[in-house]
Amino acid sequence: MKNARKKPSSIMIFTARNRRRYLTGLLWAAPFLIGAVIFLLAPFLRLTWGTLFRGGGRRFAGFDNYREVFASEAFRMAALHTVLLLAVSLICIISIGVLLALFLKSIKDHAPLVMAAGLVPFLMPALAAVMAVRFICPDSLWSLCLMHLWKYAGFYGVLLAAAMNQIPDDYYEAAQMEGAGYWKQVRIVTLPCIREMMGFAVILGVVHTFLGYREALLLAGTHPPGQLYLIQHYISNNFEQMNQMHLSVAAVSVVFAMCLCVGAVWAGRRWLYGKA
Amino acid sequence: MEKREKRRWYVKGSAAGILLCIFLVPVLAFLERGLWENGGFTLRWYREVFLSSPLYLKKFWVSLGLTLLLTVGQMAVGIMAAYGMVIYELPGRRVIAGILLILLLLPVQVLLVPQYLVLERLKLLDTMWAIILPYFFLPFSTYFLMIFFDKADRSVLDAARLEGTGSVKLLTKILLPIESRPVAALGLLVFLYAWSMVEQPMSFLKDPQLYPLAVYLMTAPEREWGLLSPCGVLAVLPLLAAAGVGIRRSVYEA
Repeated sequence: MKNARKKPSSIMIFTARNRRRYLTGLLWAAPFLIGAVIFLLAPFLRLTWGTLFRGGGRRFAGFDNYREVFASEAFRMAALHTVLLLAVSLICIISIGVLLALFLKSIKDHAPLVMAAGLVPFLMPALAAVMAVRFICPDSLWSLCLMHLWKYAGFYGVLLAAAMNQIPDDYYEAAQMEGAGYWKQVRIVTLPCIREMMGFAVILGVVHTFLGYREALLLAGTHPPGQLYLIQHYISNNFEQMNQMHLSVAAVSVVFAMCLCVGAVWAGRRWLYGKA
Repeated sequence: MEKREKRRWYVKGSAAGILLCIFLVPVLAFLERGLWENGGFTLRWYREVFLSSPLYLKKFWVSLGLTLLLTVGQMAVGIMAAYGMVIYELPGRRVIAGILLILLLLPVQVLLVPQYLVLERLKLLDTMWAIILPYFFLPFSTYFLMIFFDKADRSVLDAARLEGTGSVKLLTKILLPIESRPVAALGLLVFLYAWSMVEQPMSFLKDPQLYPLAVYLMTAPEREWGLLSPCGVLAVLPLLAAAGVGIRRSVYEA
């Protein structure tokens, strides 16, 4: 499946030919790199630098700002709820996505109808999801989770089903000959083979979970009670009140937390991707 | 065996039926709101949105144009960037990909304020460019394209390069046709996200006239339910069209 071409080592070897190649590549990538620096990196670096100061940028304050924000009840609630929401959502996405994909695979010829129906919620504006869920536990994280699932389950299912279609039948036959039943085959053959697509689903799942802030706004407004209060509410509300220090610290903390997560996954990828 | 298979079909059939209900009933409820006034069936809302007032249709076409621009822009920038970094094996591309991934996973709100300040510096606030430019450089398409291009069969590319194909031709005549399916699917996603973008317009644009249709759907008060439903329909039409094109391209192309 994968071509066995070895990746070049990451040591930069500057031969004349390489230099020309890297230059071409750099030229092609330049628009994006320049734009990303202007609109993504530079703003963020400035933001981070700003969190180390107080009094409108005069006094250097080290980590005082962080101490203050981390101690605040609002921030802690927002952070906790957000982390919980992510954990619950991702688990639901993967399980329901896989189950849905398996179901689609078992219907084969009639799958396109269910696939099309499953993709319709994805295309609906946020309003539709809110309408549907409003009557079921509107104050709990589960409502956000439910809306997320309704909207995107079809999408994840189609994604994972496409990946499952790539698995050669021989793998299943081999497993069957060893005496594996249906669910064991799923565990041994299907799941390992779709690991990469599951990774995509997780990445998109995080993006979509954060996008669920719109539904949360429609459901409960800018100051929701209870479990709906997310880190985005914290940041947006502080934005409304021109409380730049608070939202900057919160923003930097989110980025830092993301770095930790991505770093952890990268470090653990040997365990995740198995002995392959 | 016959009976067992029949039973299995019934179970699968009902499961499929239940799924269809779950997916579609809320949609029907949403549509129903737009056909209803004071206890009776009415086409008044649809008439208002599609025929009597030019306001909504105008918003629609402006939003459509904007979204197409955003999609083409981000895809073009992303394709070029992924091409340059992956095919030419730019050193440091793994690190860049990692940084892009982190940026990708962030909620929009994190970067909203700093971007606001940059746009203010560049005097782009309150113009359409405030939305267009940041969207062009969103790492979404670049990151995923880097992954897709990485998997492409290098032997064809190398053979073409040996024959002296220039870099532009290599991209347009060889790589893109090979990778057309993932690229089309990605383009569809980018289109969908661009169409429903609300946070940036609300923060960077002060004039409500400039807001795309999606923002109106988010912020209109609830009494106007009747109006919102046909607007929602209006909003979905391009997405359905794009989805039809995108899915056909990426699934049925052998």
